[in-house]
Amino acid sequence: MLKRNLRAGVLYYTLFVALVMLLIVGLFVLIAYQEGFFMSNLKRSERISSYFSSALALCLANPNPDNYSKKTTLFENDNESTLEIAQFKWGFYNVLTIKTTELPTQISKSYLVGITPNDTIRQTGLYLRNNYSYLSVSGSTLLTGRTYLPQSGIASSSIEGNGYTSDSLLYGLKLLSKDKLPSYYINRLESVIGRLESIKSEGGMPTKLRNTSFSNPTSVIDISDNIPNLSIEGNVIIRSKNKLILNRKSKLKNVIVFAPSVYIENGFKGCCQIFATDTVIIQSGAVLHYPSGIAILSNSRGYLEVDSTSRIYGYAIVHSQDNAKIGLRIKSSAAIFGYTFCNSKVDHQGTVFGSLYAYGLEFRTGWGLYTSSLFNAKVLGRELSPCYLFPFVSPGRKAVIVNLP
Amino acid sequence: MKKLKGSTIIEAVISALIILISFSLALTTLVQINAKKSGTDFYYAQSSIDSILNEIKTTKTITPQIIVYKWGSLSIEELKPAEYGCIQLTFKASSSAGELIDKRTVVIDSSFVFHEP
Repeated sequence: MLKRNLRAGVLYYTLFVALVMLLIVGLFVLIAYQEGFFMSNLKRSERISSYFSSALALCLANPNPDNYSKKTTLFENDNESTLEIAQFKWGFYNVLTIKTTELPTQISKSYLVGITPNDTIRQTGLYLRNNYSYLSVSGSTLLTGRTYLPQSGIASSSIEGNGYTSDSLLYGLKLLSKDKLPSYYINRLESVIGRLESIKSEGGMPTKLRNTSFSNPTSVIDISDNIPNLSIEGNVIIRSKNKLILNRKSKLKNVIVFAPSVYIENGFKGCCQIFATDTVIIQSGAVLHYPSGIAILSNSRGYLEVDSTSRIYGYAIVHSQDNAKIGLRIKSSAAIFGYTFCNSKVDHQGTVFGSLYAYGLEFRTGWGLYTSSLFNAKVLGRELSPCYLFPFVSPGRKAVIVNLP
Repeated sequence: MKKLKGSTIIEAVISALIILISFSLALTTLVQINAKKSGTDFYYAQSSIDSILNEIKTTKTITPQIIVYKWGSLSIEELKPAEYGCIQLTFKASSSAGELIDKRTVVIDSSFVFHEP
């Protein structure tokens, strides 16, 4: 009797052990299946990343700087390599977006694109329009890189008892400038301002921006009053019909700001492109991080003032109808890193790391007015970082500045 | 017909279960090992393709040849011009047994690439 009971118990134990073993085997099968699933996903993501890098190489090699949008199949007999590619102007830079067409998991990437111009443009320091008078340098003025000067050349002078302190008048190649400044940028500036004026708005300041990704349509926000803590990032245009003030609490990243006049207050730090039709004042201590920029297109007198200790990393362009007056004033210890252009007179007392194209130079002291003069000013064409990519102000090879959201 | 004892039936069931479980375990382990090996080979192939691409960009030279690795071999199967002066490259990675591990087609900017015959 006892023996028979034990045998029945063994059956239950056996079934239990079998169940446990079955679970273990099931687990193994599941792991194997998951590994297979993971591998197929990995292969898919590797394939897509390869499509993206290929599409990016093709788009950067395409010299067309204008807007376009197309659906393209990268490789023959590979329908999966069909991508949606779009390029549009984002101020003086371009935005490139690449999207997969495969549903349901659509992947998209956006890039901010600038250009690498040829070495002649890249190494240009000062380009002073040929006004047939000589450039006089005094104090601790320093010029490096390819320097384009008027026919009369360069000479040292003394301003208020401060003579020229360096051994050489310039460090780099001395070349003859033309009677007119290069004007490649003007079409781009006019087209950008035209679009900023005409683009439809979504109304006032929304409580929360829906989606600021560059793969979605651009959000345009019209502001009537100044907002003290403006905090916006991404594919957004902030537009005002009045003077716009950006204070130290404003947080802007990759956006475009458009107003007749823009005042950037002391302590502001951000990354944006500012377009104006009249005046931009950057107060001391404000910093516009790379890739930022300021461009003014004025029917009368455009004016950009960069106050002491403020910094612009990117570009600064002033285009006025009235070129007899000062259009750009760079104060002592202020600095611009990158391409600087003014088709009117420039009062330069700070530092430009890169190139400065000027219609004329003017310097005023309590004692008098000095034309075609630089005093304690630096234009360092050689000191521009090799990582710096230019805005679309000249022909060149396109390259990615930064990945965008 | 001889009537089997209850204990004999239980023993037979246990034996059958053990055989079944052992067989399943062996099979799944084999599948696992295979999956793991092909996964590892794929990783190796991927990183080898990446390093060759980096090398092309650094040395500015494309040398079409078969490179033999411990995990298998890698070759540039196709090299042809693409739009805007770019170059289209197709890499083929095979295991030491000759099975295809990965095939990747990429387009690279040719402005920095000098061709070698």
